[in-house]
Amino acid sequence: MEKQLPGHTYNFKVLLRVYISLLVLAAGMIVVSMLPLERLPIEWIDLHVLKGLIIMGLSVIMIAITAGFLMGLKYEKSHLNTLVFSGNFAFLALFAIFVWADVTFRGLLDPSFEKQINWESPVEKVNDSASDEYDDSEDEYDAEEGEYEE
Amino acid sequence: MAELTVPKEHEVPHHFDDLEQEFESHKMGMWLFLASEIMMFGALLVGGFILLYRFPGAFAEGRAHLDLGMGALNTFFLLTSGFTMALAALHGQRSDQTKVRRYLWLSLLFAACFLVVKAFEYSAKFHHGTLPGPFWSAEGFTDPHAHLFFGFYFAATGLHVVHVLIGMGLMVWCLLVSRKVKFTRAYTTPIELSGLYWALVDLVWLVLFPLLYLVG
Repeated sequence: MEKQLPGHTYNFKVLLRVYISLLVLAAGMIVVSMLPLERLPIEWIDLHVLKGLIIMGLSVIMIAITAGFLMGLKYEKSHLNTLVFSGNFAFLALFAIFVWADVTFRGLLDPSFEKQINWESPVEKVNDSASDEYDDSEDEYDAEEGEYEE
Repeated sequence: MAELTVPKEHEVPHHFDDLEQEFESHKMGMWLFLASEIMMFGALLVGGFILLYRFPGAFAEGRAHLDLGMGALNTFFLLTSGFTMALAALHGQRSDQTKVRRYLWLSLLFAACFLVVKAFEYSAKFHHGTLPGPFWSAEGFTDPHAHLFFGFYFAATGLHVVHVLIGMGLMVWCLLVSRKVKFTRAYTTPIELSGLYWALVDLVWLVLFPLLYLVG
């Protein structure tokens, strides 16, 4: 008699459901990105940021489904591989926190230190009078002309 | 005339006690390798998110120059190839060599489609001169940091494309193995481990796609 491995047995129905869910979630991400949430008369929350968070939230759900079913973490018996996988994200979170803190608070104690980052750009701006603090949030991009209309 | 090779049952190498130990060892090794991959891509993606946080205007302008349709098409191709790769493992467990090869070929085809679409996207960027750093020659941008978006775009998608190519190489290897070794419920290790790697390629794209094409 053939010996059974500890690995899980693949199931067509489960795989099909996973595939369809991933396609639906991907379509959902695209639809949310197209929603004109910013035009809603709500001011107590930044809807542009909220939209980004919803899209990345859907992305995290898709990653969890892929890791759980296609990579088989849901069926792991020893949980060692799950520990390796999730431990990675703990280290990544630590890394992200330190990088964010550096970028955000660099120069707070020693202002000369901030100048060590070279933000010089090779981009020739369309509007010469535009400063580095140029706010293009009210401009509309004309896809046919490939230019911004103020 | 070339002789037809009849696939044989997999023999457990002498340094393993049994198939179970062999499978678990290989899988553990693959997971540790994937862990190193996640750390590498993770650092790159954290960099991308920091750029998005620091220069939201550059990301918004850069995103307007990407083709969302092509990005969505590539997402479809990668998700479908991940599905067909899992189906190859399913039929490997059912000892159906013909279907294993069929689904491996399909996975390979969808991966190739992904590369073709990516080639079209890259050619448009080369044409417009939206290239990283000193190679930048595009005009008509209002945000002075727009080049940072495209620098990240090429670094991230370029590294991902390298991984797609490696994944395609693994699929070809599985096809070659399927000519020599008969897959059974007890032995589908090459397909399962290649499938793990391919799922990671999917995972990376599932972060890259929204970060580059949707958010900003």
